[in-house]
Amino acid sequence: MRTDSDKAQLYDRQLRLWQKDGQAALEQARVVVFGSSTLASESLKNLVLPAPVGVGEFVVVDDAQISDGDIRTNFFVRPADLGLSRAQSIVDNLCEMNPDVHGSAIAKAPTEFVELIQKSGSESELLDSASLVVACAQPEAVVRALASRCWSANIPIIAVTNAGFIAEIRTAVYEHSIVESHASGRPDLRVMAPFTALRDYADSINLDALDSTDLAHVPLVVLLIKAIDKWAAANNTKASGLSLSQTKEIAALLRQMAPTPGEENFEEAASATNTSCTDYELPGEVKLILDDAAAKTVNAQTSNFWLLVNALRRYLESEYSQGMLPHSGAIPDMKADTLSYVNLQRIYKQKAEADKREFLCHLHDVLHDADLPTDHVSSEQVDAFCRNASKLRLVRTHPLDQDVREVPPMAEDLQGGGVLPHYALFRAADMFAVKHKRHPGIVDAKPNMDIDELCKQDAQELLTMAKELLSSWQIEEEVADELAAEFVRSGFMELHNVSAVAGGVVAQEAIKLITHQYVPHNGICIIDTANSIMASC
Amino acid sequence: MAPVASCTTGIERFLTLKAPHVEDFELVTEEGETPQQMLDKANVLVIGAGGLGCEILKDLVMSGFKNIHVIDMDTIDVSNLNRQFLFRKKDVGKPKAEVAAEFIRQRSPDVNITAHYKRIQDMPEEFYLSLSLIVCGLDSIEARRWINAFIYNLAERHGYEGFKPIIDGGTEGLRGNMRVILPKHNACFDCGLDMYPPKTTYPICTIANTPRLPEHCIEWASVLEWPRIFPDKKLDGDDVDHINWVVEQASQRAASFNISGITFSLAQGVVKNIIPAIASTNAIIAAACVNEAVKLITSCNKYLDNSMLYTGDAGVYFFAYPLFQSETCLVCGQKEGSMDALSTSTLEDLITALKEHSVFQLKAPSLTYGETSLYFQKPKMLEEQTRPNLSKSLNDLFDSGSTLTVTDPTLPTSLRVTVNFSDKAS
Repeated sequence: MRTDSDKAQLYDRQLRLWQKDGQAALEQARVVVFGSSTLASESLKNLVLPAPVGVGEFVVVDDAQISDGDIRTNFFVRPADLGLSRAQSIVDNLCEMNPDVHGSAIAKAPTEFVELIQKSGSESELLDSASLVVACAQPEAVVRALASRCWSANIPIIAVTNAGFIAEIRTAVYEHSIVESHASGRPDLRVMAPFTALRDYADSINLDALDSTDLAHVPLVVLLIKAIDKWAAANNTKASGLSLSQTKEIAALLRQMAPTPGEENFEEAASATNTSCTDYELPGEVKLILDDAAAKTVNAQTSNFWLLVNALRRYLESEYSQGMLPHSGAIPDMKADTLSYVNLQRIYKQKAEADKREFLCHLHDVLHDADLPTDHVSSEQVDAFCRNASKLRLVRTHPLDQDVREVPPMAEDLQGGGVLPHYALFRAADMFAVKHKRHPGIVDAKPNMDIDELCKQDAQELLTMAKELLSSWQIEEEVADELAAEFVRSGFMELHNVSAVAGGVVAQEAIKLITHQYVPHNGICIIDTANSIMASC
Repeated sequence: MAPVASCTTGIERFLTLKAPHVEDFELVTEEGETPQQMLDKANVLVIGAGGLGCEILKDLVMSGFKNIHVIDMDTIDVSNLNRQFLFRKKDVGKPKAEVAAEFIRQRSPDVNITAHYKRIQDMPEEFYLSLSLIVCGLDSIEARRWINAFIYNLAERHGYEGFKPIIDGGTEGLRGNMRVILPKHNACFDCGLDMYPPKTTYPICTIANTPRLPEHCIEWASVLEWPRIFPDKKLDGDDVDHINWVVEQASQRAASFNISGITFSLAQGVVKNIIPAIASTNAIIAAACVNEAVKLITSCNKYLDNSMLYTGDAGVYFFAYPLFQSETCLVCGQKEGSMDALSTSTLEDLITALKEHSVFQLKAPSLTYGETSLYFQKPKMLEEQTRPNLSKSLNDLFDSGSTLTVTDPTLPTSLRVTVNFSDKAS
């Protein structure tokens, strides 16, 4: 085992992205991967490297044997292992990279594995204990069976596949909540409606009594409040619902107030009018979460996230909050002398503390209503929730197990991104493989046939199948002959680089799903490096 | 009839079948060469054997490239091991290029890989002329600018023989970018220089007089206090004792100003300008780069025109776009730059402006006017001789509209900069 300080050093560059909490989540995760091709080893490589102990509990399910081609394209098999289990070989070589890792291989075909689960439930334990399931280059029947099981257990699943220069990554998760989204938002300064302590502080400063040196050190928050007051008094009105031109008047006023033209802090304040001289508004994503049906009722089974959201609803309804979220306590750096800035920082921090105390009262009510003890939600969780209240995110993707003849999820987005034909061709290719028991363009099945002739025929059939799918979805969309031909040209064999790009995306999404930090994509990502079209929705 | 039945890898298959998207893709050229042979004989240089470099090497070998050079002047640190997967704990302290090359040799003995534990500036011109293509996995803007200008110059002087495409990858946290640079044919690295903002710096007056953030206190300890207390010792960001000293000094200063938040990790981050880095982003960008290398060498599919951005912090977002050659580019646009400056400003002000200006972004410029050395950063003797000029006003040194010759470590050749006094018509 590594000590904490070893770990801090070893994982320094990633701890700066997801901190200790994210790292702990990764180390406790259990990832089950179906398939052992380049897609699988490249995805796992990016998970095993950053998190030794827990993703260490990774399992690879596949019965494939190592071929000559694997040795030349899958970095994580050994040349000496020709003919042996590919799943075992990639597990061994991935573990070799990081001595703390624990991986295991199950030498069973994913199709067989899925059948066992469906028939007798005998292998379901492995699946049900997973934090995340990844299906690499699997037939649609396997993807759908796994996805259906995962959906009901709220386990995220990522299905990834590669046709030469083109790759597809699909994610399904019933519900995924994010507190630490790391979203960038505008600074929350509340200068339009200063809370009592901020108002008192601004009032305690008399700009007219300051000389030009001291004026140059007044923080922009105070300058903004003064300018808004002055503007409101001059126009005999209240500063709210300001138009763009009114905001510009306040900016001009700030420039007039500067002791010397271009004084930095006054300039800073003038440019901050754009983002700060607007009425308080809840961020759209947060509003959606608050309005979600799951936010409206609680019981003993309600997840901590929704308990907290329910408390947030009550908080926002309270007179105390005036409809504003708990303050995060953070303010950006601004031109100021040390004392003013530190004072200001303290004022916002105290506001955040007070908001959290108020929020806790509502949370206790919620927990009481749900018949849960008051310590049911840890104080760290409450801290993080209040600190990130304006950055909450929720992802609910479409399921992956719907009938292929039904209109695909996000069809419009796929069409807009120029990748609906790709999506249709991937589905058609699976239908082709089911029908012919071989991938389009693969010659082995007809050894005497000319390869160019075979590719031409298969491309034609694939194109027809894709067009039929589109018409069953009742969507008008052209599928280019060249694109169908490009799919067939690949023979659905993986190209190392395209698998490595896709594996990188899989790992990135896996990390986001496991840590509940940053925001995963909404479900479908198609990367076409033959045409430099990349679309994600 | 093509011998496809014997293909055991995807790339072999692609190189022996017609390309639907590329009309002029030839399975055999007029000279009798196949795309597979082009791949076999291609000679690729990988610059950087770090996070991106390790991935690029793996990707090249797994794509079928057989002749590879890798150059890196760095040695392995423990903090590299979370993503630089060709290195193990036992390798800490050894040269990255050599350890990476040895790992590749063990994994794929049929690949011809050569390590160079050197600076790119130390390789001879013949070496660069022998290459087919360069893939860059660097975190330094300075090194990328140098190689870009050098290779541009090579293409100018040697025509087709000197034409070496550069595929450049870069990552930061969950974001990355890629450029396909065809010297003289499309935008060069410097044409997109304004996309890489200069590193965050804190004004000296803030650090010295009005610190507000823990970072300001760390800068005070590392930039102002360290050289004062240890004039003969360079601050080493990797030396735990050095960083501990910075933490201690910064903490005392922070406490006296009521500022909180000084930690070892933050101090090291500020001192070394650490950029967060993870395996997955490097994997995406490196593989995207080598995918372009395969296309460029074999013509089996269209290469990227010419830039791609990736962001993964909110959703998965790829964006391909053409970057255009910039008229103000110092490498491939006008070869002369111009600067506006106040006649009363000092030479030191001008040097600072050359470092901060988005078009120049120089690192340590030395300036000459005609035969007169205005300021030289090196050698020490010349620096001391020219140092008094730093505090002189520009109008005491030359007239408005004068053209200075500027040299800088980021540029392989010198640069001419015309300085116009904005307070006086020239």
